[in-house]
Amino acid sequence: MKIRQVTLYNFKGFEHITCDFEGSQAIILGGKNGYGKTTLFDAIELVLTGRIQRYENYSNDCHYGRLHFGEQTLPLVNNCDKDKVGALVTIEYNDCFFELKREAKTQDMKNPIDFEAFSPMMIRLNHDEEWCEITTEQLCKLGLNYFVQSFVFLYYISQEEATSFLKQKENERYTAISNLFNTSDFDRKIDKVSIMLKTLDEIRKETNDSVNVQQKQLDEYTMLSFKDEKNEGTYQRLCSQSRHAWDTEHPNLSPANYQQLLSEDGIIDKVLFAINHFDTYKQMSINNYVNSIIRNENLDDVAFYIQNKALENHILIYVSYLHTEFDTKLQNASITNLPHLATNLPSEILNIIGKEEVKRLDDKIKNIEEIYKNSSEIEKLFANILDERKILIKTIENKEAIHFSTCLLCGHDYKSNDNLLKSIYVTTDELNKKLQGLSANLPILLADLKTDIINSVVQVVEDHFLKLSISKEVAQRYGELDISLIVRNLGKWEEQIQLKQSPANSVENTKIAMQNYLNSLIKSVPDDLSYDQLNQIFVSYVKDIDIDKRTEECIKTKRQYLLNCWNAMKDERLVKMHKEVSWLNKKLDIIDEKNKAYYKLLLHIKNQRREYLQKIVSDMEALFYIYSGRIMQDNYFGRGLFIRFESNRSSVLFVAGNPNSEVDALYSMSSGQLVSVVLSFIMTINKLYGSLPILMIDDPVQTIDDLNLWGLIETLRHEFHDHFLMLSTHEENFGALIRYKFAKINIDAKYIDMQQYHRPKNCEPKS
Amino acid sequence: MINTFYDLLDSLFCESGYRKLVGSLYVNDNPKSKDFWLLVNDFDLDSQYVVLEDLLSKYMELQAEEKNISILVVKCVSGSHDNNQDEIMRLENDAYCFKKYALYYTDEAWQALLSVLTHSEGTKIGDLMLQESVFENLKEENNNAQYGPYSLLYSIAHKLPFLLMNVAPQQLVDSHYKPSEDDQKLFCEINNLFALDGDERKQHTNEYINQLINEDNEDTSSDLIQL
Repeated sequence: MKIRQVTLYNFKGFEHITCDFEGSQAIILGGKNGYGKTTLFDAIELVLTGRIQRYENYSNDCHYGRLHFGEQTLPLVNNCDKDKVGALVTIEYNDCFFELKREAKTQDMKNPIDFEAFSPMMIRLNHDEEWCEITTEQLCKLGLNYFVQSFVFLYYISQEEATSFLKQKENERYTAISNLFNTSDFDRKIDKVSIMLKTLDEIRKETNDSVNVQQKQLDEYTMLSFKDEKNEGTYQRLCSQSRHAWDTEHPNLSPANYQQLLSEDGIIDKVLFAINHFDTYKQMSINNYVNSIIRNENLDDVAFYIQNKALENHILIYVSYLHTEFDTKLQNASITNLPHLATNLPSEILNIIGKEEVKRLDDKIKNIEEIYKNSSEIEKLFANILDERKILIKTIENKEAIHFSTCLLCGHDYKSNDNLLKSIYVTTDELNKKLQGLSANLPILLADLKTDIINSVVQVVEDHFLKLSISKEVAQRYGELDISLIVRNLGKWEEQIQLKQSPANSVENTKIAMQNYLNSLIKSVPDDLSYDQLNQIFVSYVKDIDIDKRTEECIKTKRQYLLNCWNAMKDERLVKMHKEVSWLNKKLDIIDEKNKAYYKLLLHIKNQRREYLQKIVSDMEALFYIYSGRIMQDNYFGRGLFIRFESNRSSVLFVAGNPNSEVDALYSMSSGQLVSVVLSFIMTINKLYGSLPILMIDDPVQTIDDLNLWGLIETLRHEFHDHFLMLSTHEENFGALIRYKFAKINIDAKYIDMQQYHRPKNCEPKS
Repeated sequence: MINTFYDLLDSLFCESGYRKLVGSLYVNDNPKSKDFWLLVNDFDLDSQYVVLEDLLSKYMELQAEEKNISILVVKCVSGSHDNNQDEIMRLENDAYCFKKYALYYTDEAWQALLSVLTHSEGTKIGDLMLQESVFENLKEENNNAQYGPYSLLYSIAHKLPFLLMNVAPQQLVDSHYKPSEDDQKLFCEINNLFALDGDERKQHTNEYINQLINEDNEDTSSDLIQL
């Protein structure tokens, strides 16, 4: 069997090319990276199998966002404007020639890649015939059915597959081995059943949790008992002003709120307890309240207030007078800031002094202020005159040569300068004396005025209030009290503990009377009762209960009513819950049954997989040992690799040296050696199971060194001498060497440089 | 009649279509092929150019066969086989003039191999290597870290790439799971319930199990389906 021609149209990087292999036994595709060597392999794979295995990974890459196709580009399509995309392979087999093809309408191609768009395989026996869809029967008749079905596994190894062991992660290696041994059908099914088993486990766990919850509730309902007090327990609402769930006619009683309400020491019991100790609670409240007054309040001030409250109006007038600080202002006043009565004193005080007296004193103040004003002006004038006279004296004294017998001011003739000067001196002295006399009287007048005001105002006011028994000290203290607070507190105390505001004969006695009254309110209470506990029950529950319903009888009736409700509800729920638990248990049984069946199925698949792998490994181990030893000449002292099925790991192990070694040789190999392992593998299974003599390897050289390459060439040219071989390499020298070595043992090898078909165009997905 | 290791190799060359050109120089007997092998019992890498020139001067037909003459160094050694690995590596890794293969053996291994071959007379050596029992013996040797007759046997296959492995075409075991009728039903059930999304899968399975309970006990389920 030979591939004679491959034609691509609108496929990947090519508009339309036909590669004619001219009946050669071996084809070596050469050319640089990206020139389309792999495209030819892809095209053959597509035509024979309907898909390109390595492209299927692209769907995942697109899914994870690593690859994007532009809107104007489609996978595998060279030009979106062309109608069709496809490939055609001409095969020579048993002296017959036929063409096989698959094509898709360009518009049906999708992103990410979807091979469903491609037609089924079409066949044409010669150019004149129409293309027709090939059936399985025809494939069998042509002897191609097995070949087509096992093409990817036995006859072709792509670059990706050759390098699959380069992946370092354990699960990736597992996948690589799975692909290599073609166990993907088993593996997919194993995955599927395993996932379903996990799903069943999850459902089982959830169901089991539900059973536990239900069972717990069931136990709670069953265990909760109550005393049947043979009481009708008719419904009666206890709290008319507020709404509590337990006080409604149809309370929704769960075991939890049953416990909360009706259990020993539950809400109902607490309420009963609180009601039975209501008097104690009340006394405790009074004790706390009174103690708080005694401890926290200033009773001296309160007593002082009560004592002087009757004179409050007068005291407040006095206080307002004291607030003016008239006394102090007067004491400190100078002649320029004397306090006028009318403007500084409250009207009530002015009335006490009397209007006439006020007027007299204010006039006196004004008078002295006037005197002061005039005196000041005269002093200023005198000072000016004296200054001028000094200048005149100086002028006369300095101008002796000039004769001043006549006064320059008044025209009197003094006959001589000396007489004139003498007269000026005398007059100046007199003026100075007059000036001093003017200012000397004012302090006297001021002192007199202050004395007058003190006697007529300050003293009069003090006398007036003393007559009313209000001393200055009383007024001052009264002014310092927080009257509104005292009044508020007294009002509260009067209302709550009936404290009367009765003054005694003194502040002290008033205070003593108050203390005696407060102490009389405190009464002893039992030590074993907690005020906080009682208070909490009252605040939380009892305060909402109507006062007339705060009786033991009402509460007991409520208790019985709730018990009756619970009783009715409990029976109904118990039946329902029993059914639920029974249903869930049945579900668990079915889950267990399914789990068992799925697990058995899983074992069956795993067993078949194991048998399949064991058979393949058993078939191939000797040949693989020979081929791997031939290709990897310098590895493990020229020996081959053993291949072993590991039932524990359900996987295949490649080992060197000791065949029972647990060390996976793949982990210690170079990239070139790993590629060599895969090549040895494909050659082994091709030789063992290949029904047709054909082998295609895309870029076998890759990373392998010249020694391994030599082993590969030798194995290929001898062991696969009668095969149609299709290889590729971007290394021109290696290509030439392969062709040369093939030719030396009479293998007709054709080297095709893909450069001749290359037209630059970027249709590859951008990553 | 095979008495020596060389006799065995000579017979293998002949069986594989090679004839002795002269001395221990073999050539592929096919007129369209040109593949040369020189058997030597020792080889000095330093003098390989002399060897090459000597060969080319003596045999004009080799002139056009550059890179097409392989040298098989067949050497009987004593003691542990591994002691010679450095020498073998140096020889085989040398890239000049010839492709060199080193086939070192011990007399004990050879005598034992000869015994094996005598017992299986009539079986081609390539076929012998593919026999399961023979390969098991090789594994046993390797397991015991011995270089015995079977290691030597497979070394011959590694060093003589023209030695063909005549594998009888075998039917590939089906790589698809073949379920029983019951398993098929179960698998259909799983396919119906399966979904990639975990929540969806769980929902399908839950519904299916509930349905099974309800079918089993309709009276009970009518009350409880609303739970």
